[in-house]
Amino acid sequence: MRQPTLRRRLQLIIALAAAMLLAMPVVDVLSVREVNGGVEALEHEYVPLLRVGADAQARLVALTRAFQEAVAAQDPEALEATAAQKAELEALLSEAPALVDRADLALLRRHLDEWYASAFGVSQELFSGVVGEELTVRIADMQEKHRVVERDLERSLTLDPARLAAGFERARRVGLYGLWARMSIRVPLTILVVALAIATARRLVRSLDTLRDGFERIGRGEFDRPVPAEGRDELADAARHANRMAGNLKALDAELRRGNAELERTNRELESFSYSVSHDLRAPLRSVDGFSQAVLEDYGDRLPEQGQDYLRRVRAGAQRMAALVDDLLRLSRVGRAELHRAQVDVSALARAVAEELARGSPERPVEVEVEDGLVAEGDAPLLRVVLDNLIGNAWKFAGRGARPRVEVAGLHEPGFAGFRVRDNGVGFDMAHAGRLFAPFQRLDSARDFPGTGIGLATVQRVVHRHGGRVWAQGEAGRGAEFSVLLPKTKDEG
Amino acid sequence: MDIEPGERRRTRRAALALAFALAFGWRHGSGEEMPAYHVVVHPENPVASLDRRALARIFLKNTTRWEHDGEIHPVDQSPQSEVRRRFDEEVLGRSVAAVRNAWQQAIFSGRDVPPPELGSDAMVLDYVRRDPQAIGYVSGKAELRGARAIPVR
Repeated sequence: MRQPTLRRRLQLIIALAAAMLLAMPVVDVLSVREVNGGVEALEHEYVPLLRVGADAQARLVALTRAFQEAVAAQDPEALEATAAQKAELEALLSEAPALVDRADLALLRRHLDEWYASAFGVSQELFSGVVGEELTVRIADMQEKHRVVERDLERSLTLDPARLAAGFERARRVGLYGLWARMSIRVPLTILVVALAIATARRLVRSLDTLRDGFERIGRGEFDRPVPAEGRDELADAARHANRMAGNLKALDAELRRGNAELERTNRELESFSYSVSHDLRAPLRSVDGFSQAVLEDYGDRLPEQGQDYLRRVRAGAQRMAALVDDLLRLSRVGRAELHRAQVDVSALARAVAEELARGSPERPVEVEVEDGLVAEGDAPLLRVVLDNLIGNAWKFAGRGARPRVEVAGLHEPGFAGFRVRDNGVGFDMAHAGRLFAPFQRLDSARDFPGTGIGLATVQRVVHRHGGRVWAQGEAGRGAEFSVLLPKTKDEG
Repeated sequence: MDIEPGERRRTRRAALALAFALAFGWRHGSGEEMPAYHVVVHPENPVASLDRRALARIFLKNTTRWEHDGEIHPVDQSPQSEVRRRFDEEVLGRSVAAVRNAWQQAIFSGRDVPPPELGSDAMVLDYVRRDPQAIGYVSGKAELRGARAIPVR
């Protein structure tokens, strides 16, 4: 499998950033150690120097006092003991740090030896009691030697400001070097990571934009313009998948269109056929009905009662069939008529339907209540068909209740507006709700309630042609409610 | 220079001693009558007299230059000698041991070198006669022989 580039780049960025973050403390530690090293060097050189210097001076003073005390006490043993003190002083000198000039130190040792010998000799002389003229000369000489030793100590074992400054300068340089070292790692690494991140982010955004545009085109159904798939990264992969998907969608779309066209053609043929059949059926039916009526009117008195009854039955059958054919024709027209959408005053339509029904059967005391201001969007004649059927049904079935009553009220959903028609009639069993809207399906007995069974099928076809929904709710013996929702193309207001 | 009562007394004593000497021949008088020491300088030294404090400062080397000019070269006597004992006690106001101790400190600390201690009056006188900047002291009985004694006030 191909290694996806984008992932590798993101991994590289993360690795670099992590390396940078990890390297920084390491470099910090190293450079701090460097600086500390410089300071420690100062400490290792100057602190011992100060210590040895101060100590050596103190020991020289002590040694001098030891000579004086030995002489004061006239104690030869104490005088001999000064040798140990001198040895200690010499040992101390050997601890002098490397900073001290070895030649200076050697000179100091020699001068110390000379002074010690001189002081020892002078002390021995002093034991004898008299400070002769010659001894005063030797004392002066000894004192000069003492001064030389003191000067040597001063010169070689005390803090030299120039040296100290040089030490600090060295430590400072080390610190500065550490800073530069840190910066020289941090700055390029940071620039590298940031540049890489920016480049990757740009590429990512560009690829995502391309991908989004591609998906938008696919969404619009432009399957012929594939998403550009350059490079070898994941987004290019995604683009290639999108293109493949677009190809499949295109094939499906074409197939669907073909199927649809076929279906439409078949449907048209079927409708045209059923229209022709219905239309052609009407003329013979009119003949049957008309001539049956003529026989009844012209020769009724010559026919026995039973014959007249048969003829009346023939006429009723013919009339029923004519109604059926009319309904079928209406259903067919509903399917074929062009839609002219407009805002329709549903309340007014419903009242007109109710008035017509009341006129048709004035003996029925049905109470119809229509909510004011009901508005829906649709084709007015077709909505009239819907209301004719629904209110007609309600009127028909409400007849059996104690107080027959039909109610037309508004119904709203986001993007939809509609109405519901409710009666308090016989209702229906919800188990059969699915069959309600199929043509020629009747839940009730045709004997009890007149009708062709095409009305609700017509309602459903109209509503579906509007892109709306229609459904029924009911309970046996407790009335039924039919709801219609039609889409709104314009905002209410 | 004012003459103090002490000096007048010493002058009287000197006159008395001279009278004795004239009467009984030149000889040493008793310790009671003779001064314990003479402070001697080179005959050319213009110093007329010194008081005890100035003398002490010279012998402890606190004063190192003559008023007229030149370095002062004090010279001491042996620490065992009587004249040293008297001089240290009367002039320096301390015992010989204390003075020596102080000098030893000065020796080893390098502050100063003590005056040379000479073994006898004769050696002191000899030293003084040789060195115009020298100052020393000799016992009262010593013959000055060319050195000049200066009165101590």
